[in-house]
Amino acid sequence: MNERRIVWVYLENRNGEASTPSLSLLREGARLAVAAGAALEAVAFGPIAPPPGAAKLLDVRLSLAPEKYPCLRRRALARLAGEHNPLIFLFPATTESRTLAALTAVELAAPLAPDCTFLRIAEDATLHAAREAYAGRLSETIHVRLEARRTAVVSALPESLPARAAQPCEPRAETVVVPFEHDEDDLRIRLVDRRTVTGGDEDVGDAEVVVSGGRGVGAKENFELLRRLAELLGGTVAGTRGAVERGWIERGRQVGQTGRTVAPELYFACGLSGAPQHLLGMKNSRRVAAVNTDAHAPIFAVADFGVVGDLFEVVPALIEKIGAAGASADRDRFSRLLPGSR
Amino acid sequence: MQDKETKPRKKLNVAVCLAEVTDPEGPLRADAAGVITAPGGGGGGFRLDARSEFALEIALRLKRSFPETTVHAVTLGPARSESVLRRALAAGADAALRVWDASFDAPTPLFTARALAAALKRLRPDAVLCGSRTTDSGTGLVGPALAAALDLPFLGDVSDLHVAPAAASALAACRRRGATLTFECPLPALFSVEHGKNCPPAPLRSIIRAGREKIPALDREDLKLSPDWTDAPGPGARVVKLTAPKPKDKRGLGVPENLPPRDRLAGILTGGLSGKKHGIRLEGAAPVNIEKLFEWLAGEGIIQR
Repeated sequence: MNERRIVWVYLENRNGEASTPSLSLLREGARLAVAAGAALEAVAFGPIAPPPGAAKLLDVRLSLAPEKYPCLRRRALARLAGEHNPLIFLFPATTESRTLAALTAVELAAPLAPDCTFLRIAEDATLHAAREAYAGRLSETIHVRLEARRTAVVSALPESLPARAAQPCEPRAETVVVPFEHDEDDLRIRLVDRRTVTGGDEDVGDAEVVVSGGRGVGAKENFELLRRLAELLGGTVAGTRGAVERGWIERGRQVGQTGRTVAPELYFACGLSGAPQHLLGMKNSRRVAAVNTDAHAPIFAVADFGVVGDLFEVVPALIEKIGAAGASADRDRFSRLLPGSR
Repeated sequence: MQDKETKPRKKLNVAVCLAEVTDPEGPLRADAAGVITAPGGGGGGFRLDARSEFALEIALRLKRSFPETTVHAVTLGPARSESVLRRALAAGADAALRVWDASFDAPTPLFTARALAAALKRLRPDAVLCGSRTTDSGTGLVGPALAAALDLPFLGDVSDLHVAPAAASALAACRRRGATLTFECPLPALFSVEHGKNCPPAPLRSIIRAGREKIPALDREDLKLSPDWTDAPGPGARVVKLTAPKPKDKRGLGVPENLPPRDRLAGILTGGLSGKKHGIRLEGAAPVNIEKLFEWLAGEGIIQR
């Protein structure tokens, strides 16, 4: 049994690079490692650029593609964690990795602190975590006793964690390739088909600009207007539950408590009031613009820029203005604007 | 992949695990001990969880597409929770089962999974469906833990499920990063559901009939759970309190942390935590507003002129 104290951060591999949420989590992992007197290590599947801050990168090599066999990742992570015994195993709470964290915790029979927005190690060697519960209306405090021979699995929302000063970085992580041999049981579920979501638009979870419509949009064909604006701003369209239920926009584009959670650079809300269930899905947006005829609509309370007016006047005129000025989406804008971006 | 040991099935037995949650839209408070105080009492302030609703919808869709399907709705909860089972019966579920014991106080996700697993073993389902996590304080642990307790393959974040009458496996659709992925999974298996549509309202006649149904309940003794079972130590994540959330201190500020301290301070003082609450809001003549909106988008670097 390995007695060395380590904190692991799971890095999502996106075409050979760690995903942005994973990289954001590394800083939190580094802070926890310092507090726990542990070393910070990263774990990823397949070759990946060595991450900043981690002393070691465990590059887990599977004999088959994990995208095709969804059981492989959790089995490999659980087996590896069982061998190395990290004190804390930190996952980004993204759509991709949130369930992986829960599965890993179950495989390890380990405690899980899910969807955390705050993490701290107390003096009594207890991990104090906070998370939102009850649709964001209450905050839940979770305590996990840290024990040397039992890993605490944590998934955290990087965009919701408090800002942290950078820890002194290891100049370059040492990469250790770890082969993983699967069992037949790991192949019971397999991918048989993959189709890009119809419509060809970018996924709302990935988009840097989201133009969203609610019941005020009035009809399915009116969403075309929002699509044109989204295209000009270099983003994609989304909708409220009300719009989805009316069949104006596909369900995969619903933002809110029972839909997707987004954190774009700009959330442009059109004809939506801003019900609490909707705000829950977009409240981490960096900037919010809103157009609504109701001056008292709750969306204005979270908007950086609001226009009290008819979206059918404002949006076409804005589209025309952008077109007339020869303006276009600044595709590189966010890499310049994002703090700490690579 | 065709499981060599499973034969093509003529009947399909589906169990859908339903979660009753505190209505997130209702007034909500936590007392000093961190216990939710929901208004109404006597069943008021509770509802079927949205993702459980999606799971029920998929189960009922299977029933429509697969001729010989039986849908069992199962929940863990006190007598109050019968309302979610009656809703499932009204929507088209064939049978309902409630699991509860007076000693089951504030069950943890693993406790819930173990108790449900004990009940589901009696039903011998070909497919088990549940929501991926509940909207109250869901951890996403129940589905994986239930699959582990039943020793079933698990597939998460499912949005649709198909079983062909002669097939020994199911096809499950999952949405990941702008794509719909279809997985083949041998049955029996457990699927946690993330997306779906809402069940159409049940006809009044079905609601009345479901209201009269006697719903069986299983307690600890029925499930043959040992007396000390509920006291067994869990894996150790403890919810210690519930409070009103604190205002965010970082996202609201929106001040890049790589700025020099003086600029950061200036950003905080001018933007500040309450920046969004006092965002620009314009009323009046649209052309002027549109011009200002355009300028704001350009100023924020969203568009290039």
